[in-house]
Amino acid sequence: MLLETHSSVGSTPSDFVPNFLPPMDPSSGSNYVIRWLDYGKESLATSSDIVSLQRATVELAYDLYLKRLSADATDTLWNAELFPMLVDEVCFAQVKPQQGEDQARERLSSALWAAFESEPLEDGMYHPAEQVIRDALQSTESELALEWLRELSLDAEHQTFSAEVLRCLARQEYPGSALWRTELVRDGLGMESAEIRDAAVQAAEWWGDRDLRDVLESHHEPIHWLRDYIREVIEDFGE
Amino acid sequence: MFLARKVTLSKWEPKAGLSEGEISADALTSDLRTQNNSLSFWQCGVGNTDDVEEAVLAMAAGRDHVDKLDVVWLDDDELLADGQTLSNTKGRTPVHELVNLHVDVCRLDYVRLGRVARRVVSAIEEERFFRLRKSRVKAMLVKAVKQERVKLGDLKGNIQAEVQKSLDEGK
Repeated sequence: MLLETHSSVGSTPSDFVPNFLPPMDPSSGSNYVIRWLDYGKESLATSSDIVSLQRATVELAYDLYLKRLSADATDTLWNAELFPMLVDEVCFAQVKPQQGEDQARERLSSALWAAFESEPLEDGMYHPAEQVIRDALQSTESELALEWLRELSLDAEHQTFSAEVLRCLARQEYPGSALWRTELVRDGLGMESAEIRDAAVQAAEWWGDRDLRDVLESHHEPIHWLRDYIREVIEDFGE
Repeated sequence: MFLARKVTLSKWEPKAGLSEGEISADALTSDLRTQNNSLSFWQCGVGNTDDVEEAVLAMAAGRDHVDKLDVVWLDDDELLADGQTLSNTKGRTPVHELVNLHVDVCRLDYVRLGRVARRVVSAIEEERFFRLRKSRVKAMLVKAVKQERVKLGDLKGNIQAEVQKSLDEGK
């Protein structure tokens, strides 16, 4: 959050102006609302009206900021003068896109949940989640998508879901870098869930990267059929 | 005689939060998903490796991807003793000579489905299961095409491409 806000207070008289504001400079292009936020950043907001104003102003500032960026503006001081509380423009780049990233991650997660709830994943059968993952990996946010898919594949709280994500990820043709794939398989094998470990071995079998052989060889698997499977996959690497 | 069914072995492993002997609902709802109150099985003779692999070929040839397959095989006498109804039906597989190996366990209700689940657990405990890794499944399909048991063109797109690639490479 850019601003700390508190909303559990009463309304503000319409003619209220904080007494700590400096005299307004009519030539500054600014106004009281915006100048007010200069102080509001550091102080606690005192009413729900202030909270609303702060939010509205931040939204306005961000819109203007984007317009300046899209116009390829280089005079970054412009924003600093207009929005002194937001002088660090990097904040915009961090705050708003972060919100967008969270939403995009949530959309991906929800789409995968919905896909698996509507149809169980079966060996050898196409599953709609494959397309969801493919779209994410081909999107402009593919680098982020890799990280999100990694997190979703290694979620101990939702082991069946994670294993299904990993199995569908395994069906993609070489997602991410070889290092990314190797680390994902290694971390998957380190999970307590047999379903996720099994999915990790399947991913190794699908991708067949040479480095994955070492990862499989160094893993000590307690379940005998999964241990046998790992041994067979390692044998395949030798062919 | 034994009847083979595709499962996902890891779903039948003990699960955190469930007591010993309790069957995971995820295993039941994903691996024993019924259609028209029936479950699909393939006859696999006396349950030796050759017989089970025939059932696996029937299953694998009708899929979208070449993938590993887990199968368990259940004793049909035990299923009948559980009150199950077995019905010979034509299986959906492009390996025509195996079509008639298909059997439906039908008229399933909540109780009888639970009994099938118990039989799956017993089969796994008694080692009546195996996993064929992806490369092994592909080798079976390639062999079946070479032996003209299945036409390459009858396999689905992805499988067809993978089998064709192996044939081109002389594997």
